[in-house]
Amino acid sequence: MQLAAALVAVLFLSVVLLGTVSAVLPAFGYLPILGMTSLSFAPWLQVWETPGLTEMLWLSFFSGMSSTLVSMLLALAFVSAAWDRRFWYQAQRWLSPIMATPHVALSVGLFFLIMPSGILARGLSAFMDWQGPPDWQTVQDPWALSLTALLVLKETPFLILMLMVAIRQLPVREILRTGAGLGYQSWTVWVKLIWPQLYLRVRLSMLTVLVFALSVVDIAIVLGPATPPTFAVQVLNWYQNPDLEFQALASVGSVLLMILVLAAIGSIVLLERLAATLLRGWLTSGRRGSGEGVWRCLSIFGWKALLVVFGASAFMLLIWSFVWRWRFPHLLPQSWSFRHWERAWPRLVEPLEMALLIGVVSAFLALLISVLILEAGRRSQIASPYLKKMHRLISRTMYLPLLLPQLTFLFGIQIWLIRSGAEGHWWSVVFMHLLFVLPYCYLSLSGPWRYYDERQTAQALMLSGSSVRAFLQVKCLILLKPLLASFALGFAVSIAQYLPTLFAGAGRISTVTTETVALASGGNRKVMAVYALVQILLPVLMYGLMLLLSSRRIRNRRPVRRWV
Amino acid sequence: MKLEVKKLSLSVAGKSLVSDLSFTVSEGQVLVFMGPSGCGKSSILDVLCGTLARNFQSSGTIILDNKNITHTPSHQRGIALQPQDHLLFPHLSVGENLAFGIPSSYSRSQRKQKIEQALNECQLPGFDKNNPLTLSGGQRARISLMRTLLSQPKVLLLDEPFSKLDQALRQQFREFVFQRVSELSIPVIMVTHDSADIPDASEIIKL
Repeated sequence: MQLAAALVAVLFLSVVLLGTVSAVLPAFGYLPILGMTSLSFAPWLQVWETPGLTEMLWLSFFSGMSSTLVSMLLALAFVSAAWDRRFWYQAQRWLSPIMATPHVALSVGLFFLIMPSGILARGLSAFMDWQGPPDWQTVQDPWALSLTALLVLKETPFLILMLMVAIRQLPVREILRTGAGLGYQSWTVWVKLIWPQLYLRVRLSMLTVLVFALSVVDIAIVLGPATPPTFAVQVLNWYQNPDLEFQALASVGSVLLMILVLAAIGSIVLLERLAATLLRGWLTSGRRGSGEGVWRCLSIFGWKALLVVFGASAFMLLIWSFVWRWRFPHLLPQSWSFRHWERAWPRLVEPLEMALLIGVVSAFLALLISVLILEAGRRSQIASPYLKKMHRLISRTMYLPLLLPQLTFLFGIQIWLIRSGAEGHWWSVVFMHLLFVLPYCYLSLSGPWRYYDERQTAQALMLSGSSVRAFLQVKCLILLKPLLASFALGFAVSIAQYLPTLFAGAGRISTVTTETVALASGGNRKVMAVYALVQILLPVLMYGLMLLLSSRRIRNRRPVRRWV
Repeated sequence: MKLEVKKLSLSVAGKSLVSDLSFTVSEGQVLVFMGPSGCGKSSILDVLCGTLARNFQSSGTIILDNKNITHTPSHQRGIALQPQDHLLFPHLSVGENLAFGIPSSYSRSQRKQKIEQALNECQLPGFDKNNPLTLSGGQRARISLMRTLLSQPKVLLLDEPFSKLDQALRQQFREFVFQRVSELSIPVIMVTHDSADIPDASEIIKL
């Protein structure tokens, strides 16, 4: 088992590293598959001369950094205001469906909500006496503000979830008691005593958010600026250019994207040091704090606003998928129709089937691999320190694809897929999806696996004499709920993948996500709403199914009875 | 300074832990609550401190210095709680942990002086830059208590302060605590389940 886990990790690591290296070489003119064998810096000079390069880099840096910092602050504020209150338990219920919502579908929904002819502008028109949509750039704005807003909307719940896991490791109640005893307001105790400790525990998750925000392509196509676009979108444009010479430019771009990510991580480290120096005096100044109620209200308001925007975005998709006539400034559509569904459905069936197949297979494989690695890790705890160290390394390897810009290593992997003739098959797309599905499945399962009481398996082993039966009929059954939730999460992650499908599918494999993004660049909005709605429904239905399965199984508890 | 508690009742999940308990603690007096685990000793301290968990229900009146503080927010009560874990904040150095307790009204030089003085009293001079995680159990307990005392509380609550220390440290820390308590001359309430921890001439309430 240890060997299998190590092999999986080595394979995982080599694929990502090989992909990265293979993507870097063409940047220096080396791409034998296209007959480029001599090293040169010409592609760098060409990229350097690209009009608007600095602006594209700045847009990516600004949207990535600001969305990450705002999301982190909102998540910390929410956790402080809601801990051990009604909102805490409400958030635990709502986070799963929020996390399952594919970001492309959400970006389409937000697009419909805030566009100049969107429902918000229609609502305002009654007071402003507008007869036509205002001349405002509320979507695809040149400052990437709408893109930043979407990133905040999507990443704050993820960071809240990570904080909820991390907070279990801290004696929060004791810290609050001690702080109150010293005369501090509870909000000040959170900010001065709990935030610094929590931040260290979710730092890695925050960096994965940063990397994602800097290198995201699909939602940047829907909501991001167009002329010039964010840098990651420009790199994809170079990759997709039919002129093969642009491949070298794309490769330079992916290296530059990597440098941008490193610069952003460096900036975060710098900000941390700056904050540590500047705020140290304030931490121990003895100021007990004021305005607790205001901060608490603002944080809860932020959470409620997030839920409302989330729900409204999803609702907009539903509305737009049935709208036939909806003239500005009418608040409600004038006529409804099923025609968009009738028109979209025949073309939707194939991408839908493909998305289901790839999603189910990749989530199932990721679940199996995660269980294998976690079980190997558990056994390494009671084995040698060498194995313990090895397992720690394996666990960290799982984060790697989330800490690198997708474009950088996916292009390199694509080169290898082309070489081996594996490009354009559904299983090669599954392989690509696994690189992103596996980390999430592993992360979601590692908590329940760690807290599982092994004495129950030991007892079952003693009674049955079979380690396989003890594992399957006791451990897996007790952990059934997190296992099914992890499968649903893996499925949702797979459904949301755009670039991995694009690179491994080579245009021959299309899923609901790739079709939705394609429609976003100039397609019919109403058909786009149908696609986006279907994209949301897939993971939501899977979550519902898994919830149903786990509740039925837990109610029956047939295999457990055998042990009693 | 006098702390009065009238008709204090405490329950959790419909189970009554304490009912109609009244007591008064005067300056320099030590009141001890004794009883087995789960009888509600620590929860009484939480009621006094205003940090009772939401699943508990309590009633009664708390009067400090002739002022009803039953509904006063916990941070404004002036009642300090010394937890049994002697919690030190790991992201702050030993000196900063002590500084955290000092009120903001003191100037920077006064704060520095107070920290030095506290470290000397804890027999840990020169430890201000040290990481609290490198301290031994006894050292941690002394620093934690000093931090609480530096906050100048009107009432001190001690929640099983010696339970997590081994026998040798226990004796040393007991002397350290009661020496400081007698110097301060404030009402002190201690919770324990070990009669050996109780100082002489203190009032005992068995739960």
